[in-house]
Amino acid sequence: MTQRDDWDPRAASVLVDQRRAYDEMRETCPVAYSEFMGWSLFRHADVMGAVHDPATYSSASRHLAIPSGMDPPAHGRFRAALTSHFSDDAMAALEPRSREIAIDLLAPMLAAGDAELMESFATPFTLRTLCAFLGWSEQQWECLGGWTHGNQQAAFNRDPAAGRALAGLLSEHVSANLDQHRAAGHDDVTDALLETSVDGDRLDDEQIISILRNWVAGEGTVAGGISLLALHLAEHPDLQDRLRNDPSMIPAAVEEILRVDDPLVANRRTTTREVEIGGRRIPAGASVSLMWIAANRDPDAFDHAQEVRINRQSDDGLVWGHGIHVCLGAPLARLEMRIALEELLGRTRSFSVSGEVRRSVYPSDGLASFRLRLS
Amino acid sequence: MNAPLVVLRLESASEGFATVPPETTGGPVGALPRAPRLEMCGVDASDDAPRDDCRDIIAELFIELL
Repeated sequence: MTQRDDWDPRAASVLVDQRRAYDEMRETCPVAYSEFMGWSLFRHADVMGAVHDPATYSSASRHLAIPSGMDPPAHGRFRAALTSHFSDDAMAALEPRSREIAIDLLAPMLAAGDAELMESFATPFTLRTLCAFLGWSEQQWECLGGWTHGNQQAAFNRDPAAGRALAGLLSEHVSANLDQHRAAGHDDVTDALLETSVDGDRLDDEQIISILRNWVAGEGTVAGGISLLALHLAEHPDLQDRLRNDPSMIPAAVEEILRVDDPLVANRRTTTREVEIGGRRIPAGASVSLMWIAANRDPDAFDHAQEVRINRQSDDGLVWGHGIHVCLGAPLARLEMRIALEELLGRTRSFSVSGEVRRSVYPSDGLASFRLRLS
Repeated sequence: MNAPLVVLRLESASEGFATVPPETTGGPVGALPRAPRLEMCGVDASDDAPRDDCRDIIAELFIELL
C-alpha cells in the first residue's frame, strides 16, 4: 500500500473472504483508491451510474479488445456483428452437444459418489462446450484452461514476461485454428467469424484473436459461476428439492444465487473528465474499478440483499453487467449453467459438500476447489 | 489434413512459473492446480520489459469482460 491508498485489494485480510471485505468497503469507504485497482466503486448506484455513462467512463483500451475494450460508436458496430452467434437459434443448436458433454463428465462422478467439481466438471464442461460452439476439437480444452489459469496468475503477480508469453501462446493457438478452418470450411462459428465484416472490412486475425481471448476468459467466469451455484445448492438441500420438482425455476435460481455470490469481482473504466462521487474527486484519465460483487449485495438496491430469494423481481442485478457492455456471451453462459444444474439435479437424489471448500483468489473467479458427495 | 495446433504443455503447480502466496489463499503454496511452464514452450520467462511496456502488458492481462 502507498500513503494514498484507502485499502489493499490484495491484502490477506481481503482475499480470505472477498465478499465480506467488499461489503465492508461498501459501507465504510464506498469510493476507495488503491494503486492496484485505481478508484473502486462499491455501491450499486455508483456502478450503475458509471456503466450507463460511457462518455464519462470509457472502456477504450490501447489493446485490441473487441468489443469490450471499445467505446461508441465503433463499439456498437463491432458488437452488432457478433450478437447473432448468441441468438436463441444458435443456443438451441448447441444445447444437445453441450448436454452430452455434461452427461459424459457427470457419469464417472456419479459412479464414484464423490468428486472435485472444478477439475472434474466445471472447467472441462465450459471449455469443451466453447470448443463445440466454435467448431474446434474438444481435446483443446486443456490448453485453453492452462492459458486462462496462467493468465490469472500472471495478472495477480504482475508478471509481464509471463503475460506477454501467454498472450503469444493464445494468439498462436487461435491462429492455428483459423488456418485449419480456412483450409476446410466447417460452416461453424469460427467460419462465420472469418466471414464477418464491419464497415465493409473483413475481420483480420488479430481482431478475431482479440474476440476469442475474451470468450475464452469468459468461460473461466462461467466455470466459477457453476461452482458457486453447486455450492449454494449443496448447502441448501431444500432448494435442491424445489428445483428438482420444478426445473423451470432453474434460470431464476441461477440469476439470484449469482447475484448474492457473483463470480466476477470487477471490471474497469477510465474517466474522460474529472468527476465527484461520494465526496471523492476522481481526476480525468483515472482508472475506475466497478466492484460487481459489492454492488450486487447492496442493501440500498435489493431488499434483504444477502439472501437468495429466487422469486425476486428485479432488473437491477449486475451479474452480467448493465448498459452497452452487458455480457455479449450471456446466452451461452446461461445455457451452460442451466444444463449443468439440470443434469446435476436430474441425475442425483441429493448432493452435499464433501471436505474443504476453497475459494479462488482475485482475479480468478468462483471456487478453486470443491468436493461434492453425490447420491 | 488438419494443421497441427500449438500445444501449451501443462505441469503441476509446484513446477509452474508462478504461484499465489499462501497468505492470500489460506492454503498451501501452489494452491492452483495447473500452470504452464513457459520455458518448455521455448519462452524465456526471465525476460524483463521496460516499465511502460510492463504497464501495457499488465493492462492486457486483466481481460475486461463487461
